[in-house]
Amino acid sequence: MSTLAITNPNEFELETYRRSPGYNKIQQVARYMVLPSFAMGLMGVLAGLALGIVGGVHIHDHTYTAANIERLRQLAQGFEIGGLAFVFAGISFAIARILGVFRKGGADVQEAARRSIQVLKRPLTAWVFLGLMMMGMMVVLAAAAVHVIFGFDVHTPATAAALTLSAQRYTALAGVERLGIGMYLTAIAFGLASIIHVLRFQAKRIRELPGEPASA
Amino acid sequence: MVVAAGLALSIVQANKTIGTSTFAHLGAAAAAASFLGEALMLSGISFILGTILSSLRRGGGEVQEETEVPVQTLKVPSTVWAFVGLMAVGLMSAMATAALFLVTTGSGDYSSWGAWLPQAGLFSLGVLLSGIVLALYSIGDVLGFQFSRIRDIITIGR
Repeated sequence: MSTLAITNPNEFELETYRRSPGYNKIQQVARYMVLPSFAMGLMGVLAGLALGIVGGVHIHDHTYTAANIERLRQLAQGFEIGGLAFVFAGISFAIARILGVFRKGGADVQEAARRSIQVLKRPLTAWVFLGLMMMGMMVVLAAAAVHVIFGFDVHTPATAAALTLSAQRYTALAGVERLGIGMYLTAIAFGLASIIHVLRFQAKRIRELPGEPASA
Repeated sequence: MVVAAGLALSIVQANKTIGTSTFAHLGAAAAAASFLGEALMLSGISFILGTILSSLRRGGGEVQEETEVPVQTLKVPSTVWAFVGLMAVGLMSAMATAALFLVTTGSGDYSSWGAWLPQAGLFSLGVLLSGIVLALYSIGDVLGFQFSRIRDIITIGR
């Protein structure tokens, strides 16, 4: 039994061009930012691991005070979470780059086939993707920066009250980190939804091309 | 399942007295299960991305074969090799972290291990996510190649 896919004609908001429009500005930025974000993320998590190991190695070293250990704990978490912020940014940029490839590639094929060049207007999901990604990045990077600030706020020798305060701050920041990572993951879901939207449009457009007269 | 086991262990831990060895053991086991479960889920996503890359390669080849033009496919890009390497490193380090969490709780020197094992867990998740970045980057490359190939077939005819 065969099925017939029915597409709502008003489902897609389109822009029509005479020449292939190429990447938009955000996609241009994303193309250049994927690999630097990836590299910074990897360095950040590696630095966090190294700081954590230094703290672990010196935990029974009597020349090392409790303040030093606590400072290292805050710094390690700051670098680790900062690294994760860049890795998530890398994933978001890679998704934006894929959206750019679809935009440019789809338009190039229509141009080569000498048909009118139709490109999707940026869908709502892509706007939400952008907004949530930026908010997530700001929240996670702010948490990472505050971890570093709190780390340097633990002075040697530290009182028991100062160490308790630092531990409380550490716990509170864990919630902020989770919030930021949640925003990032939601942004990525919206980015993937945008890719689905573009794929649906391109499938519809490919079906239309053979029946459409060639333009001059 | 492993993440759910971590949740169950955390619930059991919450009902124990703070500061006891049982509390510490259960905390370590819960952390091990959480990190390992998350790493396995991210590995699952990586495998799916690998499958997408393989489908794009096979599908692109089949379309070219059907249209009777020379079949061209991208050589495996360096980002794909790096993606596979990062996925392997990330998964292995997550397994090692989970094992160390379980082994070191009874070692009598847990504070030293406990100071850096959570960071090691986050590191392994970061490495797995970095692999996913490279997989998505490679998918972008493959799609770009396929669009340029379709354009060539339309304009040049081969």
